[in-house]
Amino acid sequence: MATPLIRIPILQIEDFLVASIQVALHDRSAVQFRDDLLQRIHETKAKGLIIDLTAVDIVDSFIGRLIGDVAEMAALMGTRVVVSGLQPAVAITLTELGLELPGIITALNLEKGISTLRRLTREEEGEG
Amino acid sequence: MGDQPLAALLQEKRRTIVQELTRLVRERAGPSYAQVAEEELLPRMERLVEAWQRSLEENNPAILEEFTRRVVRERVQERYGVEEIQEVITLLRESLLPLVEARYRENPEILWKHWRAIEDLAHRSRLWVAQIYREAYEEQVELQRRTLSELSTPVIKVYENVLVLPLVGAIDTERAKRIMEELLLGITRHQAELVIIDITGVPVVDTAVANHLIQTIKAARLLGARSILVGISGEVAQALVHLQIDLSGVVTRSNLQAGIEYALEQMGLEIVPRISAESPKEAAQEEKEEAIWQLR
Repeated sequence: MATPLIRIPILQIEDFLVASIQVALHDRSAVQFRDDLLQRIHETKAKGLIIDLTAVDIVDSFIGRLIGDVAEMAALMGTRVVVSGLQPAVAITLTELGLELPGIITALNLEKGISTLRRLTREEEGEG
Repeated sequence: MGDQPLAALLQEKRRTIVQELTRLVRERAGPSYAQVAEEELLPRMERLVEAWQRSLEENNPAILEEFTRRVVRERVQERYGVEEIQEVITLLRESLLPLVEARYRENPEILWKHWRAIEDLAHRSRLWVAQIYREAYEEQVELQRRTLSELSTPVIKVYENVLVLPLVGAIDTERAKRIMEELLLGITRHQAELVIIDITGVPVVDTAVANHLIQTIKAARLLGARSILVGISGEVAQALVHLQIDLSGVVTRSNLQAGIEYALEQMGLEIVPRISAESPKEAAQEEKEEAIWQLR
């Protein structure tokens, strides 16, 4: 009856964490994913986090809001969040739902996401 | 409506009817028919009379309906007027009735029966023409509308990572949706980071249009592309301020050129004149123009 819990692998590349979502997330899995992410950020003290949604066809309001929440929480822990690879259909759905993820940095693909993060962290270090 | 004697009469007098009808149609049916050569019109009228004859013979008006459908669709393509096509039927009726009258003058009962058969078929034909003409016409309009809407949302790549979306004409909800879809597809296809939306050609920007634009810009941002809005005219700017539409989150520039320059600047590029030895100033201007052209 209960849908199996899916754990999304969270990989570390240099100072950044990368999580690529490849499957449709159920609410419970999504919450698990959020907790895992925050745990990993806490452990690794990563400067940046990329959530790659290239393979995601459907995002509902719950997942949309959750991604927004994760970004906000990560920011509190000193980590920049970039969402990469959103599909056009997903972007249209999100704007129609009014979930425009205002605080989140977006990138066309994983590669551009990483270079954006690099630039941002460099700027911050430069400032500091 | 089965009417063997009438069918036989049509068969017998076919030559006379067709010739008379051709003459009448060229004279009176309208400008489109007046332009058709006699040799071409003759077989066309012959096929019409034949369709009537078969329809009467087999007591099956569907034969004539099918014939009418085929012919009217062709005529719509050739831009004949609906009243011209209907006039042909009136003329056919006019040339048939005297024939019937001449033959059955002594027998009013039979004359009346044939007369009614002709009137009935002529009446139905005119209705079919009107109906089929309208259907075919609407199909054509729909086709053109679709072509136009495809033409109306071009997404052009002007430089690596830079797209231009020139919008021309009024934007309604349906078109706005299309624009958004096309733009987002263009962004993923070209992996563009910057999108210049040029609204020089949009005559009216009201709350709805502005909201569509803002939605499009927000959706593009979700993909990771930044948008630059260019070509806001004085009137449009006034309208936007009066309507209190907040475009503060959107980068705006006066025209397409300024937009392209801004986009290049964002990528750490710029258009510079090539230095020429003789008359450097003039040459530089030319080169600059050329460079801009190449970019476009």
